[in-house]
Amino acid sequence: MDMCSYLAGGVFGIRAPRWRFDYVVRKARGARRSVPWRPAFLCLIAATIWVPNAGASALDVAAQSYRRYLIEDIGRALTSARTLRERIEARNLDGARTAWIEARTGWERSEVFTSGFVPDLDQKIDAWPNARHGFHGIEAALFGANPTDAIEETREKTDALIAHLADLHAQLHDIALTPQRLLNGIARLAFEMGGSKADGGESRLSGTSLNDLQSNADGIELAYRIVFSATVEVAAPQLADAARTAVQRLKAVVQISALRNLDAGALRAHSEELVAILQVAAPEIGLDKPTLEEVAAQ
Amino acid sequence: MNVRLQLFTFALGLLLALPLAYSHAFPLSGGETVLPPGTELNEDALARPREVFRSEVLGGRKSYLVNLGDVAFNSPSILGGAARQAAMSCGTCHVNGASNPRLFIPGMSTRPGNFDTTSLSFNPKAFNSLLDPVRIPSLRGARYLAPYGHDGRFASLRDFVRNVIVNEFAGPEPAPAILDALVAYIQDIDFLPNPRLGPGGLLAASYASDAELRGEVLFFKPFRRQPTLSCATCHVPTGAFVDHLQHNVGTGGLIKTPTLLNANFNGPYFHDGRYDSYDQVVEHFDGQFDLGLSATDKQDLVAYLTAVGDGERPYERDGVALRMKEISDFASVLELAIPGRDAAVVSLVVTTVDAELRELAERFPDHRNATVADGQQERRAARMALKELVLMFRQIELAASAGRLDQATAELRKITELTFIPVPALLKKAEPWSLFNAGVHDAHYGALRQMLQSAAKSPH
Repeated sequence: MDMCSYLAGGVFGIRAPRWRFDYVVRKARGARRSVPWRPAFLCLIAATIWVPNAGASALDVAAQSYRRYLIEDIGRALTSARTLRERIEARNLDGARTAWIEARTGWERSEVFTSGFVPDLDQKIDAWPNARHGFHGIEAALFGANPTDAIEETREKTDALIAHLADLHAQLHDIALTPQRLLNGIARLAFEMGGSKADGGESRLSGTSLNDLQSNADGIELAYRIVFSATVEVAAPQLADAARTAVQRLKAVVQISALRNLDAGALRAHSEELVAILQVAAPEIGLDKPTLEEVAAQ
Repeated sequence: MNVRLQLFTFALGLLLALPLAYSHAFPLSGGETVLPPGTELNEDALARPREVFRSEVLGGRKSYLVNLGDVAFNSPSILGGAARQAAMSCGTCHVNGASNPRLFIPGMSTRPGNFDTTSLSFNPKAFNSLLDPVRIPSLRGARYLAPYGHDGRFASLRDFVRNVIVNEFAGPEPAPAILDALVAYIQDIDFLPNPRLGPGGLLAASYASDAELRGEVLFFKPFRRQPTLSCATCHVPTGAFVDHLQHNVGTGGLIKTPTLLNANFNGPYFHDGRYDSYDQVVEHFDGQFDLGLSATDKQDLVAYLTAVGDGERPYERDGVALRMKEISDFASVLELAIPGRDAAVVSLVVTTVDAELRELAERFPDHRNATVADGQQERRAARMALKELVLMFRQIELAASAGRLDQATAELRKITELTFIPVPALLKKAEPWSLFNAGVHDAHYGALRQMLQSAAKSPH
């Protein structure tokens, strides 16, 4: 095998064979259902898919519509980070902790986007393991052993976090949201969720690792629904059923009361099933198979 | 000659001990863990006990059964309750079939290296309201060491293994084929070779120091108050230094005679791990049996025990080569399981290999990890290759469960090709920036520890 194509992405340059598609279709709940009638919007998407070179633009339109959700989520994270700063100033520890948790929600919902599109900011905002800066630096101070002293420490860290989030928020208005990279982001995040264990997780100091997972699943569902769902529905309806089911399973497996109750095996299986479906779906909607690591700008 | 040999042995020992210096304790922490905060599983150690297989020593290869047993041994799915939830497997305690002297679980361990197998946390049905931890034994040479259990309560290794799975760790009743495989695997784990011992378990005179030879004489010398006994009565040198019996040596009841082979690496000592060193062990027997040993005698006995308990290359440096070899061995089970339509075994292998591959991928830090700056492209390529392998293994499970054996076999063939050279080559290229590199390892775990330390006294 050519090592260059191997490195360039995809499943070692191997195209998904038809049987995988068949399998996914058979796995879809309710087996083969006829394509449900949808409003004129779906017809329009169908028309664009079947007109040469027009399918990508339908996805592009959908990708653009995802932008406002991203702006909202990062905006929410930014607002909460500013609230966090105010509460630090007011020496309101409980309030600061609450604001930190709220800021995480918007951030984690946006992970479909952040790691692939803005990796440098991703590292500054969400470096791990890290007790010095970013979300987890602030977490270590706020939820650590000496939170009262830590209030002082978090001032500078929170200022930096706000600056990075504001930078990201400003970029979101202009950054090119390509469907391929968004699909990569969904696949990557779904795969990473599958590596989660019931051992404390990433936000273990605050005890909010489960919140992170739930927000990740919400973010995956949102991005898939807004950007890809309608197009897949038209191009491969059974596959659309399978993808929806897989997304719902992923969401359901993290809808638990405590991280220690996580069924890590089921999460892993559902995560990989969703990625497998997306790999099969990609060529059906005119995209390349999603890569599980961002290789280069696409 | 002896002095030179001793110097060489000392230098070699120092060299082998070096990797251990890199490994630091990395206890679990935080309020959301399955196991109690402060738990140390020693999973970040860079030095791993070397595993020697009898079938390979004899020039053959590990059988399907041995490899399947190895898979099951390292799969949390055969256990239940808290162990499974915490992703523990038999291999967590018996690393590469040896012991885990640093394992410590608060409330279940009284010291690193021991563990209460009848605790409330792991199986309420086996809970005996006692904190009675036992040492985690090495399984090297287990085929020669019946009966099983620290008190020898099981004549059969198969019964013992089943009891560990079902009663100690609340696992489901294992399939007979899985039990057979586990027994085959454990029985294939051999002692590390020890060139200092000759036929009959006697010291090889050309290697032995004067102190060791004097210690050997003392080992065979009848006890002054019980002249029918000597150390060698129970630790029979011709028979793996065991007599397959239980004795009361003043530690709380009848305890099975442990082997002395490779015992240098099996500490802590005695059934509950109460002693750290041979000095303490010799002191115990001197007091218990009124042996009347002089200070020199004790030193000589310790020298002898150290010679008997030695073994070649006891540790291996963890790294890409070791991990990929293990994954290939595990995957080899599929060569028979797929055509044999054994969906349960296929699933077990895929699930286990999947976890191993994901764990290996985590050894190549991603862009969010600020503790390593260079090798970004190499690390990314390594992670991607491993993630793609995970998905390919999952495809095998999906195909096999749907009865599409040809496709499952074809997928396995691709994996076999990829894991032979291309993937190991990619990983090797990224290894300098991975957690297998001591500097990166220390920086990563240092940052993690810094985070966790702040939680250690957290009110949450």
